[in-house]
Amino acid sequence: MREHVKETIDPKVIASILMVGIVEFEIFTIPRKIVEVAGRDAWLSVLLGGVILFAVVFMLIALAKRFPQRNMFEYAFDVWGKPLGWIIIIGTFLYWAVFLVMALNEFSWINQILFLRNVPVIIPKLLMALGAAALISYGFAVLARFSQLMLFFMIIPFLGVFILTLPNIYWGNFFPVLENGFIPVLEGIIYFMSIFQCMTGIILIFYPFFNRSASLLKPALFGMGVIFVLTMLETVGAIGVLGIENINESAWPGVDTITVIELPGFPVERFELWLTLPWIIGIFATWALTLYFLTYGFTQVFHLTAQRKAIIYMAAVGACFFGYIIPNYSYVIMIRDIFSLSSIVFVFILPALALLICTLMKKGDSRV
Amino acid sequence: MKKVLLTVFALFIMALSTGCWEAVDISNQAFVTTLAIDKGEGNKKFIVSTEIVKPGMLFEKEADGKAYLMESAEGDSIAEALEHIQTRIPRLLSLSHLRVMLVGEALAKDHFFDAIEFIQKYPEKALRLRLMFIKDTESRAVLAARPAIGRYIAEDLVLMSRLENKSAMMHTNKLIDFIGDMRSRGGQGMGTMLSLEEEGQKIIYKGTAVFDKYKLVGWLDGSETKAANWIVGDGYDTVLLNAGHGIYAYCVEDRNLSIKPVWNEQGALSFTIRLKTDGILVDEQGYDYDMRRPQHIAQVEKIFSEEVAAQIRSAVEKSQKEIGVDYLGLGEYLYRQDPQKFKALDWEKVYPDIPVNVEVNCLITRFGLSP
Amino acid sequence: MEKKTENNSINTAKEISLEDVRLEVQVMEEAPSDDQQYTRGPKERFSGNLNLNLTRLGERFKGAELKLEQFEVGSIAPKKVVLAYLKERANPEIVREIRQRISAIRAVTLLDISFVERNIEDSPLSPFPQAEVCQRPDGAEAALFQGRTVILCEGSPQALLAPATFFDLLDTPEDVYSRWFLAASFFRIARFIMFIFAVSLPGFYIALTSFNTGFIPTHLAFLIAGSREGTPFPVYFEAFLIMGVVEAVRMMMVRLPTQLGATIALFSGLALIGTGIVAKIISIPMVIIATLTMISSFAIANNDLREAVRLLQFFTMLMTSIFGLFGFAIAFIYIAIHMSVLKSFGIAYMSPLAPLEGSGLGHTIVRENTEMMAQDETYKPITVE
Repeated sequence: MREHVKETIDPKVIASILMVGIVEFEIFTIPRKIVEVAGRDAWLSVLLGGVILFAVVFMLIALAKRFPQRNMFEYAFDVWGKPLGWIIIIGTFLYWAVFLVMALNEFSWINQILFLRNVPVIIPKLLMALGAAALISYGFAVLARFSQLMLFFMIIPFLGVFILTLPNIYWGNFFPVLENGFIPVLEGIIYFMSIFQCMTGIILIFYPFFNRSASLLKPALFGMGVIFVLTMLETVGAIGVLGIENINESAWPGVDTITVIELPGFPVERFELWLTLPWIIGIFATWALTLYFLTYGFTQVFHLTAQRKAIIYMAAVGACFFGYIIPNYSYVIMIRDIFSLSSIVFVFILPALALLICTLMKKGDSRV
Repeated sequence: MKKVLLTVFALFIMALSTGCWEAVDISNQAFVTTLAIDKGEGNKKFIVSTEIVKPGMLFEKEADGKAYLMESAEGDSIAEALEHIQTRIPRLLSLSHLRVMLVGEALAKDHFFDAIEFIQKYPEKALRLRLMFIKDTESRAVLAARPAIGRYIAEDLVLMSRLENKSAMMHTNKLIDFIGDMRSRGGQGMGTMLSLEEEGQKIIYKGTAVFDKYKLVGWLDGSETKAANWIVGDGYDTVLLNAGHGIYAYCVEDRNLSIKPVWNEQGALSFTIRLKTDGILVDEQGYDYDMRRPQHIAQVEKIFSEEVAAQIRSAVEKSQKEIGVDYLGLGEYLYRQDPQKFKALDWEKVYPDIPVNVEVNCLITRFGLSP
Repeated sequence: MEKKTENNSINTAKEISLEDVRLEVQVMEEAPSDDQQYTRGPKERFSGNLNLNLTRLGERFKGAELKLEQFEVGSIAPKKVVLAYLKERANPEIVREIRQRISAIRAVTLLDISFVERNIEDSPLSPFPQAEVCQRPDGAEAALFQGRTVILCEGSPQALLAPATFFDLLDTPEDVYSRWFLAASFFRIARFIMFIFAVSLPGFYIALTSFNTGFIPTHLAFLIAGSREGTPFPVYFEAFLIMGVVEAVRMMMVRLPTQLGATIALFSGLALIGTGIVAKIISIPMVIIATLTMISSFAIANNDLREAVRLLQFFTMLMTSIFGLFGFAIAFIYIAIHMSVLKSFGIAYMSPLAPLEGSGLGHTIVRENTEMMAQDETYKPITVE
């Protein structure tokens, strides 16, 4: 059973959900990943990736439009057929579950470095997970409101700070262009796309909740546009301020970029650290969204709507404790690499195939 | 209501019982503002000296009270030395307000980059901290000097480094820029130089340290730094010259530099450095030129252009012939223009013999501060 | 969170007209029982007499269609409760919901309108008031034109405006009546910032000084550390101590609202802080923070909200004492979750910010130069949950 949303939600809200849901700590690490493969042409990867990204948004909306009253779990069997549908749905659940465990683990690790050194990691994890569970147990309408409220505390500081870095950019760091040809740039695109793991879920699951879903495209494009600008500013800032040699040595180029800026006479000398607060909000929102996708999809597919609240809390607490399975950080890096690659499959390839099948076999509730 | 109270109580007990009390009060922390690193004398790699601020002393009105404490320890790594220092300080050492790093000449000529890498990876640091090299002596001698205005050394040094755009005699860069330059050029670069005068009591912020292969290879004094700053610097600069019967001083306010590698038909490489400056004539002691006449201005502009060009040539010559290290970064310009050709060259060998043409155009927009 | 309304209505509504209550006597000027002072706007206030209050309200609606519904609430000593709204403005769903909730009140009697409030609120547990208490007939009139309802109770000199959002509570009459809208917008935004200060400043100070000292600018950090030199208590203990003292002084002022009380409060506050600093029992930065917090909290016009802010302040202090800046972020997120969950009679508490409605921002976040009475979509929701 689908969640019954009594309030109808304005389509513009999807922009804020996308922005708050997708931006997480990767906004600080993504330059390193892309620079590792694409070098100083990383900004080209982001630029080309952005073009592909907008195409994907068009594609997802086109797919959702074919089933305006249903979400992706409801039409999965129609599109893929019974056996394949099950495999894909279970795979998607696994993908989200892995993300929940990994993101929380990574969060607690960074939290340990920045804030709490001696506190057992499980306590910050539980605080986050229980908050997220409480938020999503109230349903989609509350989640939507939360994302709009957080927008002001998250995106605006990020944008402001990245714009501050612009005067410090040394443009010489961008030359020579395309030193190693085009192949590394294309590889960089894959890493760029991997930060958008929440996008499919947001569009394909939330689509039926909006009252005028037909006008969803513009706000969705706007939201993705803001994230794209943010990533671009950040990548350009990191390359221009730090240079690629330093990016490769740095754990969080996004933070390090800001540590370099010196505003004469400005009273807050370490203002980069203030970004940790929007960062915590970002990871919280992303985590809550993914938890929503997982529990919501799970209860719907297995017809467990009555036990939804219990399942949400169980999943949240479970994700906290599953982190203990991973013995050390090198495994984390390994799993994350696999995860990045599977993101491409779940976020882009599967929806694309689904749309292709729908178009070829003329499936769908409404003719588009 | 009972439920709520019970939950709050349970959460409170949970929070207390897990031993989460890791608060360290700000007055129980010992803030290291300067880290002075020298070469170890025994079998250890480093001697690390710290300037630890005594915040209580900052308020005392005594004229010459130093508001800091200096502690040194030896270690193969900075972490080890800090551990030793911690055993002598009754408060928790914190590097979160580290502002300056000093490196003595002996260490700079050896393995100082290991220490830098430690700092770069240290989570508490801010990368805008300044790195400075001490000529002729150990860096801990600086901590024994007398701060000129502030109550602790780092305060003075940070304020001095912020004058970089106002003074052409110094070269200063942030730690991260220094490391970035070193890494991208295979250990070549320029660093800030400090020296001590008046029996080690006065800190002089002047000159440049020059590096090759991650090691110190030479120093530039004040006027050499001034010359090199035409290429690497970006700020005010004053040119003095003796023309006719008096001294003329020209203060550069705005500048535009372009460096172009040029390949002639035979395939030989040369560089063209073009500099265009805008500025004010701040001092005219002679009476040979009447600045109200455009022809005279053109003449003075020409004299100044020649003077600046000579300075640039001397800087290039110092780099090419005397030290033989491309610390001015000319290779970088070639690399940006054509990475393949740059890689084909053995830059270190080729560099000292590459001809460099200098074209300078100084413009005087205004003259005299009073008519 | 949302209150389930029972269908068995105990108190039935009876429609009354203004003619029934209009007093023939000249409305006499009572000494206004006022808890705030305003520089501009009508000086008229509600009094304890229900009929008089209704007359005052009615005088402002000559010709307009003001609907009045009267309830008798209380099993032993019933009191009259009147629900007033404008037919063409108010959302019928909200009116029906409020009517149902009032008629479902099971009470022996109503001492004051606050007993109505706690019985019809969506969440009595929430720190945030979900109805606005108003003393001014002009405020009630404005609310009616916005499409809200006004609830009056026999024997209470205050009216209840429902629904109320967060921004309604931070609103003051000065914003509405001051001439220059840019100045009004400036002061209103300043009030939001002060709200955030009042909730977070002491907690933030604890987090910065006992966990992440790197956040403080170097010179400021040394100044704080220097002035804390020699004081016996850790920062978090000191924070609780001084904030407790602030509360005590405030309570004293409430008990003794006279010239004498002000003098005693001033003297005792000064004596405590002064001797504490001289004896190095408390540190100077903490006193600055506490004073700043107290000043900021008084920027909030609504008394109930101000009380809530004080307790939230202690919540953030507790979280930061244990978890530092991470605790601060968590406290912020928890409060934000609560604010996005909370509803006031079907209206999202943070509207028009969340859900965002562009038309409503002009007279909530800022004050635009409206020639007409402001009205927006906020109080016209589709359904009531």
